[in-house]
Amino acid sequence: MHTAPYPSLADFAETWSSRDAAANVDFAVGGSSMPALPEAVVTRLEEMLDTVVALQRAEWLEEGVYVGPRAMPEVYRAVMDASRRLEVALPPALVARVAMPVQGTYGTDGRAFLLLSSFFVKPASEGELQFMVGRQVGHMAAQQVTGRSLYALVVDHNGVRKLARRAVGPTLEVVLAPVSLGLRVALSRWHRLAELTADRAGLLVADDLEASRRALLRCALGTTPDVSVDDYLNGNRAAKDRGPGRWTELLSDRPWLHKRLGALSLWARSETFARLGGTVAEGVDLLDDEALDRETRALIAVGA
Amino acid sequence: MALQSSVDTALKHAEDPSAILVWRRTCRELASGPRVGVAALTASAAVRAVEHLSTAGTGVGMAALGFDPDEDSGDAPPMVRDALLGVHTVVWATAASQPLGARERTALRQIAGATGMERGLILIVDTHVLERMSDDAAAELQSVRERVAAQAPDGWRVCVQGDAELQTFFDVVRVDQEHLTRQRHHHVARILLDSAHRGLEAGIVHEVEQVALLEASLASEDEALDRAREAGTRAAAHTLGVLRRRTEELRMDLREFLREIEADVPDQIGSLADVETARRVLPHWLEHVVQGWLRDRLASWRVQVQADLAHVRVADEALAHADLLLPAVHPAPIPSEGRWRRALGLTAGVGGGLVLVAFQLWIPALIAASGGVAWSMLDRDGAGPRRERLQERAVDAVRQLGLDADRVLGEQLQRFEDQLSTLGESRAAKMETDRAEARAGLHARLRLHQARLEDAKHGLKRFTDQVRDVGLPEPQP
Repeated sequence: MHTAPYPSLADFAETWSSRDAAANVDFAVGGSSMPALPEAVVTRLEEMLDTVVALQRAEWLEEGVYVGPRAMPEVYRAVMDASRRLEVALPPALVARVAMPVQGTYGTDGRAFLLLSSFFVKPASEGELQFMVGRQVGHMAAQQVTGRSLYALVVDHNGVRKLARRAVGPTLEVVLAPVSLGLRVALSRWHRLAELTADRAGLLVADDLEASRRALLRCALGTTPDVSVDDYLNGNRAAKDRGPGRWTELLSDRPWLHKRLGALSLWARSETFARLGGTVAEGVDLLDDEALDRETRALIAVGA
Repeated sequence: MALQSSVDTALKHAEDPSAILVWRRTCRELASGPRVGVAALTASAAVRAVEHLSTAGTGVGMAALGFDPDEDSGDAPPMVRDALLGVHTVVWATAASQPLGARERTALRQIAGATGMERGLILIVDTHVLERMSDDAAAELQSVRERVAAQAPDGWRVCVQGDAELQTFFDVVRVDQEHLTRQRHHHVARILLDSAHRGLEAGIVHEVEQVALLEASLASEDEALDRAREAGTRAAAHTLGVLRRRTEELRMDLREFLREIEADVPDQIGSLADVETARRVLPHWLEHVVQGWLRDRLASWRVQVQADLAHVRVADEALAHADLLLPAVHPAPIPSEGRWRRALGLTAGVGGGLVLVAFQLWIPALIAASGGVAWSMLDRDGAGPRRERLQERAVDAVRQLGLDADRVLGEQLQRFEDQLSTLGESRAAKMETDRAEARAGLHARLRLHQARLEDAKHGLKRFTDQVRDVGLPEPQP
């Protein structure tokens, strides 16, 4: 076997940058890219996240299982399909007994793995499973994994504040609280956009709007609901509520479900979705990129 | 009456409603008094003959029949045959000017065949034409009579209109009406029962043919399924063989390539002056090099597999399974030497010192803090040993990367095997699904015809039993 020449480590070290690997995928929602950080910071962050996530993964694996041709083959097939569809290297995926909202892509952009909930996987239809796996692989394709892990550590797990409070004392809360609030507001907005990007990827993989909407509904309600998506939307008073509760989305890590369902429907009738191979309904006027972006932003704006 | 009802029942068993109608009408007509069918080559001649006989006061009912025989068919026309069933005897009217020509003789033969009557009468009519044509009309009429008598079928009498003998003929008919009626009943029953029997047997033959035809159709469907299954299994075996061989080649090439990398890694690390830079960049470099190699090698793998499968002419369906995905192989980050120990030393020393300060134990606190700092300082190695350990860890990382890639490729190969193992069955199942409606239709029709065949056999048995009760000879097939 003839081996093609490869660059030397010295040459690679001179030219390599983690920013080179940043992905620019067609299905990404505008604003869902992480701000560029200095190279040294990214490296340190990824080292730290690798260590932390490796510990978390080891815990999940204690009672979870890596999917493969002999272990949950239907999930393995969905992972393969999603990798092929989104042109991402086949990632490891594990199924564990975790709550549905915990499902996601963990690790770093360089070393990512999928985590799926056994509560979701077992009763999921083929389309629902494809959507869920597709949206996790979509995070990988859009290079959002490091950002998501950082978000989970800092915001969800109170990582920074907890560490700081233990090390410096409760007095520091007075200083850190406004800082962390700002950090959380900024990261939450990015996270919400990243979730929409993943939803779009999931629909690209599943190519089934109804199954994708049902999967989102199942994840939001935490069970298999005895309600159709349309009935849910019709009965969802929060969608029409103009009360102060809508502002709590400011610190939420994902857009409210009715907004995600609406954004998914917009994506399903966009030119980009059709261009990427998605099936669009006949006779529908397709949204161009500008209209899609405008309507999506209007839909997901906090307080809208 | 017993004969009438028995035949009626037998025809019901034969499920022949038209025969039942004919039988009832015939019985009704024969019971209404002596009836004579008056036939001639044309309907107008028959009507004229009827008018003549009526004025003569024969005392019997008459039916005029125009009968122009079809010499090709050999049988009387259906309408005539049907009308002749309900008469006790037949009178054939022939013109004295053209007595009993060839067509008339044909008609007489066909009447005899259709009615089975032993007796009948040939009536010479329109004798006035002879009076105009001949000087000696009486002699001519006698000559005509003799010629007609010579050509008449056995048992048929010849009369000239106006003869006293004519009345005698009708008197005999009236007297023998009961006997003639019985004869006619037997004859008509025989015709109808034979026809019904033939119908029943033809029905059975038809159903047997239909059942055989449908069974053959279903058998051919099964054969087509078997052929699809065999073709799928054969395609799967070819595809799997090609995939296994090419994937094994790929895995061997990967192992060889990783051995080269493994041998090259120490030199690569040695080419960088800064060990920390080497540690930080090495996993990314390994990923870049190995992923790039795998991507290129998978592309050539696809080309080889497609070519091999095209060579053995495997269907597109099997080709759809022949694709390997690029495995996500990421080397683990290589931790910096002593980093954790330094961190632990510092944390324990400084943290412990802070706790001791909180309890105002100043001297132990100072000792703990300085000890932690000293621990972390003592653990610092020189660049030489660190580089060697980095090289060792890099080699371990390459080996682990090889194991991971090999496992992922092996899993995909396993999945091929699982998918292809059911290719034959899935093809057959797909074909069965596609043809399900047609197969269900065939099954339904087969069941219907099998049921009809059983009904027909049962009907024939009841019919035969009933005919036996009638006292007539059993119908011959």
